[in-house]
This record gives sequence, C-alpha cells and structure tokens, in this order.
Amino acid sequence: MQNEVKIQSTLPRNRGFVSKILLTPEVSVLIPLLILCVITGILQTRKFVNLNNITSILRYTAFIGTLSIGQAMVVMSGEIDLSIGANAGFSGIIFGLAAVKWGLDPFTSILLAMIAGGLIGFINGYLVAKFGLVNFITTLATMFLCRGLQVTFSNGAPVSPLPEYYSDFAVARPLFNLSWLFFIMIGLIIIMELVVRFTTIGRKVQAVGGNKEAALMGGINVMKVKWGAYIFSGVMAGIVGVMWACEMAGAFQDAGMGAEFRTITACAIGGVSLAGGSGSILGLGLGVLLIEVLKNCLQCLSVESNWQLVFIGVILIGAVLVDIVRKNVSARNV
Amino acid sequence: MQEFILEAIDITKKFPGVVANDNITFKAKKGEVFGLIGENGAGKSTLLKVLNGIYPHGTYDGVIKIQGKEIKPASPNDAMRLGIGFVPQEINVLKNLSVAENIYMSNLNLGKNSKLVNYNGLYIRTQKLLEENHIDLDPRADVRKLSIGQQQMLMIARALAGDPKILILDEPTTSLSNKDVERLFTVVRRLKEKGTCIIFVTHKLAEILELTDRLCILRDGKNVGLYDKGEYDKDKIIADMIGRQLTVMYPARNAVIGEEVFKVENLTVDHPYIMNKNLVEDITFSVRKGEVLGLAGLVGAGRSEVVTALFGVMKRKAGKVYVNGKEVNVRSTSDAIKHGMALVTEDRKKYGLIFIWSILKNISISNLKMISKLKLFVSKPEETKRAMEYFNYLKIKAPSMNTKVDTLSGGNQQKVVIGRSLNAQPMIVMLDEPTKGIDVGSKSEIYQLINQLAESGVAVIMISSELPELMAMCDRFIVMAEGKIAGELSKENATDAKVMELAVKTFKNV
Amino acid sequence: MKEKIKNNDSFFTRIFRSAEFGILVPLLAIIVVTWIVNPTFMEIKNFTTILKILPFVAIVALGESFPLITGNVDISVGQVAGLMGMLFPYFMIVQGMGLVISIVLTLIAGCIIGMVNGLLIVKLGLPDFVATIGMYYIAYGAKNLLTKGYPLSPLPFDLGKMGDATPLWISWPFWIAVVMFIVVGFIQKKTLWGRRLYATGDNREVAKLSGINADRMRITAYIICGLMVAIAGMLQTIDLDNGVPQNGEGWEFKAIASCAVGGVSLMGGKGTALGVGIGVIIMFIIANSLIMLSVPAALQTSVTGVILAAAVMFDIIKQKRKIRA
Repeated sequence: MQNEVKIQSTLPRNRGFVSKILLTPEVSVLIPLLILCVITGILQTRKFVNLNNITSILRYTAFIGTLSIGQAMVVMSGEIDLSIGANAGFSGIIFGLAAVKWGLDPFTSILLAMIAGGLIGFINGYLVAKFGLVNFITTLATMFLCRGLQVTFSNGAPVSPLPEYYSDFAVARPLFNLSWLFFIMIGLIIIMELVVRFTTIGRKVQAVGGNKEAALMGGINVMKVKWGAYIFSGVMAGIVGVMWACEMAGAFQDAGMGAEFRTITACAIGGVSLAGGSGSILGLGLGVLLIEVLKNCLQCLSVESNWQLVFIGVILIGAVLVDIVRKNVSARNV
Repeated sequence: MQEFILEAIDITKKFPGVVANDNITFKAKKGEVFGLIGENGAGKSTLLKVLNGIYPHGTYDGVIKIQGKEIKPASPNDAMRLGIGFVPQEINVLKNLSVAENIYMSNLNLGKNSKLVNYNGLYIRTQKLLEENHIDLDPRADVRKLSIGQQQMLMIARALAGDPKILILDEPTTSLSNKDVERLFTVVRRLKEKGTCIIFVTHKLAEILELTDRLCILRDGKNVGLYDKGEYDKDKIIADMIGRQLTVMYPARNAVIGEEVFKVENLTVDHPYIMNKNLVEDITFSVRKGEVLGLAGLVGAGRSEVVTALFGVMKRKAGKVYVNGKEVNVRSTSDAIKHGMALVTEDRKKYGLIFIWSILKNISISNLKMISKLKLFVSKPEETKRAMEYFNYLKIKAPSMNTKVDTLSGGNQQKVVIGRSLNAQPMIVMLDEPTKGIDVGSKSEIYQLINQLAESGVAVIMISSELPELMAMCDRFIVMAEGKIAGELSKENATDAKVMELAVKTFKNV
Repeated sequence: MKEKIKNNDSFFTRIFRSAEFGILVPLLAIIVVTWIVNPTFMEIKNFTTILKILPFVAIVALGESFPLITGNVDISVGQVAGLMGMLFPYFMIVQGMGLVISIVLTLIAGCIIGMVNGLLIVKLGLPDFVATIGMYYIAYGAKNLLTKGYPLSPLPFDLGKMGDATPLWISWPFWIAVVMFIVVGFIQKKTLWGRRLYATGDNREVAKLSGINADRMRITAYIICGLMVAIAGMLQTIDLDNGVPQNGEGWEFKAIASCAVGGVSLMGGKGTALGVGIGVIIMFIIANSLIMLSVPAALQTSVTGVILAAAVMFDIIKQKRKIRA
C-alpha cells in the first residue's frame, strides 16, 4: 500500500536555500539599497558619505516609517487605508489643540491624539469590515473627512507654538546624532515584527489576508481582525501626528498631504504584498529607508526634486511588478 | 440518414486519472426532447462542455455531427454559430441592461452594417422572438427587476436568438418555483413544435419522465441505458443510474456507538439573494458518539448548506442546536469550534487552505490557543510538535512540514484541511465530499481516517455524492431533496435504490 | 410593415423612474434651502460663475467615468490634467510650435498616458489604484519639470482672449463641455461600442461570451480618459491664460465623487453622461451653498467625503437587494 513517509528535518532543502534567501522581502530591498548607496557614495563621496547626512536620512524615516507600520497591518489583512495621512494630520491638530489651546499635559495630549486617530480607524473598520463597503473608496471618503476636520479645527493656520519641551524632545540627539523619534520608530518596528512573526495576533492577521474564507473555517473572526487592523492604523496615525507636530514645533493645517501614497509605496517596495497575507515589518522598514535614501542620493547627485517624484512613481510600479513576479516564481519553488 | 439532427459518436474525454466520458454515443431527432440523466459525477457536464464548445475540438475523441455533417467546434461562440445553443445552469446576465440588450448583445445591430443601435428595431425583433417562443418578458425591462424564473427565461431567449437547431438546457429548474417550471415546460413544448431538438439535462426524475420523448442514462462516464417514452420505468431507470461494480475496498470499522452527542432541530436557512426562498427548511436529526451519519442527496438538495449553517458560516433563520444535551448558540465559526464542531469543506480552493502558507501553519491556525504561551506568543516548538503528530497520523506526503501547500496533490491538500479540523480536537466532525477529486490510494487512507475518528468516539457527519462510498462508510442515512429531509434510513434498510428514490423525490407537483 | 412598440409607461412615469431623477431631487432640495437662507445664491451672476468654473472638473469626471464603467479606476487624472495643462503652452511657447500641432501633440500625450495605464492594469495585472498612483507621481514630477524657469504665459495666438470670452453669458469651456457630454451620452446610449462598454463592466464573463474583447475595451476606456483629461487641462490653461503646475490638484477625487454621486457604480456597468453631469453640478452647487451659508471652506472637503461615502453605500445597498423568487 502507501509508503511510510520519512519525516525529514524541518529545515528547508539545501538546494533551494540560496534562492530562498534571495527571495525574502528583506533581501530584495537590501540589495538595491546597497547598490544605491555604493553608487552615490562613489560619485559624491563628500556629500553622501558623512555622518550628518546619513543620520539625517535616518531621522527622516521616523515619520513615514511609523505611519507605514499602520498601513502594513491593514494591507496584510487584505485591505488598504487611504486615509492614514490625513488622519495623522487631523490627529496632529487635536494634539496641538490639547497642548497649546487647552493647556493639557503631554500624557493627556498624546493620548487624545491617539484616540482621535483610533476613532477614525474605528469608523474605517466599521464601514469596511462590518458593513462591507469597498475599502478603497471608503478610506478615500474618510480621508476627505479628516482633511476637512484638520483645516476646520485649526482655523486654517498652524496650531502653535507648542510648549518648548516638545521641540526640545524632537531636537534631542541621544545617540549617534539620531533623534528620539527615530528610536521610537525602531522600537515599533521591532515590536510589530515580533507580533507578526511570533504572536497569535500576527498569525490571524496574515491568515485573514491570505485567504479570508480559509481563516473563517479555521475559526478566526475575520471581521474583528480587519476592524482591529484599521483601528491600529488609526492609532499609528495619531502617533505620527504628534511626531510631526513636535518636529515642526506646531500642528500644521496641511500636514500629511500625500503621506498615504508614500506608505503604500513603502509597503510595495518593502515586500508587504498588496494582495495581503504576507510581509515583514523589517522589510517594510528597509523599504522606507530605501525611499529616503533614494531621495537623498538624487539630491546629492543634484537631480531635480521633481525627477525624484517621477522616480518614485516608476519604482512603485516596478516594485509591484516584482511582487507579482515573485508570487508566480515562489509558487513553484518550495 | 437525416432522421437525426444531432449525433454524438464515441465521445471520449479524459482527465489525468479519470475518464469522464467513455465512448458515449447518442442521437437526437428534430423536434424531440431528449433527456440526459445521471448521478453526480456521471459525466453529464463534461459531455455538455464537449457539445457546446467549451472543450473544443481536439481536446476530446469522437465525432459530433449535425444533420449528418461532422462539426469541429473551436469555441463556445463557434458552437453557437454551428447551431448548438446552450443554457448553463448558473444564472449569468447583464443586470444593468435591458432584456433586449441581454438577448442580442452578440448581435446588437441585428446583422446589418450599422454602428448604431436601432432600439425600436431591436425591441420589435426581441418581442417577435419572445412571442414566437411563448416567453413572457418585456423587451425594455430592466433585468435587475426580473424574478429568478424570468432571468432563467432570459437566458433561454438569449440562446434562442442564435436560432439554434439544438438547444441544450443544463439543470434549468434548479432555482425555479412550481409556476416557473410550468412556464419552462410550455416554452420547451413550443420549441418542439417548431422543430428544435432539445437536450434536457437534469437529475430530477419526475421532470424527465414528464417532459422527454427519449432518455439516455449516464453512469461512470458511459451511456448505460436508452429508453423511449413508452418504456419509461422508474425503477429500471434508477437501477441504471446507480448500478456499478465496487472497485474500491472499504476498510472495516469497529466503533462503539454511544449516546447522542449532537442534535439539530428545525434548522432553516434563508436564500442569500432570492426573496422568500429557503435554502434548507426544517431540518431535524441527531448523531451519536462513534456513529457515522451519511447525508445523501443530489446536487442542490441542500446538504452542504446544512453543515455550513451548523458551523456558523451561513446565518440561520431558525433552528436549535444541542451539543451533549445542552443548547448552544453558534453565531460564528469560532463559536462552532469552541463547542467542538469541525467542518471539512467541499471547496478546497476557496475555503480550504491559505495557499501561500506551509502545511505547518495551515494546520495550526485552528488552535492557536493550545500552542501559545500566555495566549499570545506562538511557541514554535509546540507548534511543530503538534503539527508533526497530525502530519504523521494523516500520512501527508510532502518533503517537510514547511512545504507550501499549493505544491501538494489534491489528496494531500485534503489531508492538511482535515488536519486543521482535527487540530481543534472536535467532538463532531462534518465532512463535505471528503474524497472529491482525490486519487484512489488517498481515498482509502481517508476512509481509514474516518474509521479511526469514529472508533475514538467522534461523531461523524459525512456528505458524499458517491453512493457506494456513502453506503459503505455510514451507519445511518438522512436523504435530502430540495432543501428538505426526504427520508431517513438505517444501515439495514438502506439500499442504493431506496436512497436514490428518496433523493429524486420532488416536493412540488409537476 | 413596421409597428412601433408602444412604451406602456407614460412620459412622466419614465422620467420619475429614471436613475437620474433620484439624484435631481436632493439637488433641488439643497438649492431651495440655500436660496431661503441666502438669496444671493439664486442670482444669475452666481450661477454663471459656477458654470464657468465647473467645466474642467466636469470633463475630467466624464473621462473618469469610462474606466469606472468598465470596473476600474484612474487616480492619476488630476496630476495628468496638470501635466497636460503645462505641456500645451510648453509646445507653443518653448518649442515654438503652431497652435494646431500643439493641440494634437497634447491630445496624443494624453492618449499615450491612458494607454500606459491601461496596459499596466489589463495586460500586466497591476492593481488599478497602484498603477495609477504610480502614474500620479510621475505626472506630478513631470509637470513641475516643465516649468524650469520658463514663463508659460501669456499664451500666444490670442488664446487669452478666448479665455475671457463670454459666449451666451457663460464661457467657451462650458459649451465645449456641454458638447462633449452630449456626444459621449450619444455614444454610450446609441452605438454598439457604447453598449459593449457597459456589458464589459456589468459582467465580463457574459461580455466575453457575447464576442466582446474585454481587454481591448478596458484599455480603450483608459485611453479615452487620458484624452479627455488632456482636453480639460488645455482648457484650464486657456482660461487662466497661464500654465501653472497647481492645475489639477485634487481633481481626481472631485471627479470620482461626482461620478459616484451621479450614479456611476464603482462596480462597473452603470452610469450615464447625464448622470456624471448632474453629479458635477451637485458637487459644485453644494460647494457654493456652503460658501453662501458661511460654512468654512475646509469643511467642504469633509462634506465631499461624506457625500462620497453615502453615494457608495446606497449603491451597494441597491446592488445587494435580493431577486424575487
């Protein structure tokens, strides 16, 4: 009759090991990143390869990086959040009002911002996960809502000046000329990477994004998972709103314009598949880094800032194409 | 010999591992209604796909002739041009357009050279077509507003627009009410008068006996019986549908049947998109520990709907469920799993597996609680250990547990799905077509598994369209037809014929 | 002998039951309320002002409706409109080309962008919003690149005068838009191609079975969208007598919102030119009402969002309605 199956070790086959490593999202971002750095480093050594420049690149990643973490969780659950940028702007204004106009302490102000962001996320989650609206248009609508609220609550002007300790916090350079905001982002990346890789929550999110019917059969409450992902993304938006305000020493009425697209680009480049169900937060972080490094390289090479935008568009399309190819290839590999 | 307008000669179609159509030959005349009946898996839909061009010439052996001349259809559109009209089983219409546009979409300018649509001419032509065929529809009507029966008529009209010599109707009465079935029969009779040859495919015996002039029975891909209207004998036909030799050995089982562990009362499920219609109605039954209960019936009888509703996937309109004597409220799949139920679904692709994941992760997803510390952190060693148990127990053939499931064979994929269900340590396991599309070797293994489950005290509910499999594996049978329970049989009383007789029962008066 | 099929419904019944009517009623309600609160709303001058500023977004919305009807979306329309609005004067002023050839080249550029979008989405399988977001960035960068130091104003060939003209008390762009809407409406309702377009978005399976080349339809929809966006961009530039990169900012959302409100279902297969036109008018009247009611400008965006969400919700509820047994 049928043969007894010899159970081999759970390590991957050695033959496919190298190609398996190469196909991981982290590596496929790392390689272009290194190439970029090397090329720019050679061509413009003075401008590019100095501590100030490198650390300023890293500092800039803090904002989109944190925001992209929120987007990544939503994307991994199989949806998308177009309101995340406007949400951050709106929450930033709430934070500004709390800190400046209402004179609340830092803890409460930051908490209010996170609650505001989370509330928008709650609405997104309700409409998409529970009511079943199309994710794209719904979060587009909430984006409008947030933008409008952002400008209204701020009366069209920056909410400033923030108490000095906020800007002191943003300007502080605790280690290697990097900012606290940067370290907060690193911390969140590490935590969320652990969550995705090692916790039941991470498993459930990926299951829902991978095949929501199969996840349902496995006993997962698909609606709750998606709703939760949106709330999380909203809270992240709240945090970033606070971060922006600290950095700019005020909550601006136009903060966050276009940020949502940058988070989607980061996800696509960083290996968080836009189809849902897979991705690593580390890869995402590298994706954000790649975008910032690219901007910097282009600046060092005196490329017009507008060409940079063109580049980002091309890279976005290219990254998604690579994602599609990667899915087709890895279906054949083991 | 022009007596026959359609001749299918020695049609043979093979798929890897299975011969779906084995030298099928039949001939149909002008102006007759020719019936095609058979169990699930007899080869009906394959034969139809050969005839209407979905399996184009070259992918099958055999000859199709229309009016004595051989035809070689290259595509569905080609088959239409050659004179074969086809009305598929699923209702598929352009819901935002009008009746006339739906019918004539492939030919909106009615054959003329114009690039514009002459609506008046279109409506007149449509009205003519509908009147000629006794189909009661308004050419200008918005399709979205039509009832399901009317949409079915629309699809027939669409096929008739091509003026086919032969019209194939695939299970046309599945979604229809009594009145609509009557209307359908009127249309068919009218077509007969006009000289169209109608091939009527169904599994409902009563309909075929009433409507058809001649009847061909398919079984296991072969043509096993040909009857003229005068010779119609219900018992003989049923016998032809099910008679077969047993080629698979079923392992013996030594289970002790204990007390009742699962009870369902008056389960009713609403139809998701048709108003005032129930998918299943008033289902009541119970299962005992160690017992294997068979849920029999033909496609569309509502068996899958019963188990998916019980598992919390579909909403129940009414009904009570009792586990171990206590009433339970199952409103989601996690509720169902919590109360000890498990479901292995029919559609592996959609509901079964997360294809980008490994075997390991697919199995463990149903019981993360067991392998997590503090209910949060997934313990890799625990996960591996538990999954390994199922990997071995189920004899899954794969290089390792980290193999992605999309590379596995159907049989092994099914085992992974079963593994996931068992992982939640259920007391009641519901299996919906557990051996569908699986090779013979793996089938035996799954039978053994079912036995092992019963022997360990699990209550098993099994749905299968393969009657011999069901007869061999089950201790008791519930036969469903048209969403209701048609009858219950014990192992001693059950014969193939009795089951089939209940399965083709019609609750409507036709 | 041809008999006319009598439509059993009377003229009025047909109007009441049409989809467009369901949108007109809320519009009338809004107009009446605003009129009561602020009578200057109803002055002719106010209306003619609205009609002067809406043709550009209206044409973009008309173009956007093509991909929407086939079941896809195009987010790049705003930036591409801005790009086209820069490209047009660029050809004339910087490259010194003639009027006709500049117009033709700009239109071709719009078609090419539409074709690229279409190919990426239909042939390469990119998700539609990703591909068009990528194009958004590319157009954004490109349009700014065109201004490198060159003044793109005033426009040659006395185009500035055309921008100031007021034929029939309104403006040339308005009447051009009206003509375009009528032509598109005709094509959608009366031509074979138009009906096939709807079929493609309604049910791709059935469309293919009816002999329609669904891929070609969808790509063509994007090309037409690009063409219309080019027209809108050029008209806006003429109106301002200046090519500025800010043109087109935010138009994509206004266009999609107008389409949704105007009955263009985001699932595809539904929506008429007339509906889009009404949708645009509603959006602009609401914006104007809010100004008249002294509502702060920013809340307009919020209101757009809420209306958009509501329109989509109603669409879904209607689609999910059960069929009669």
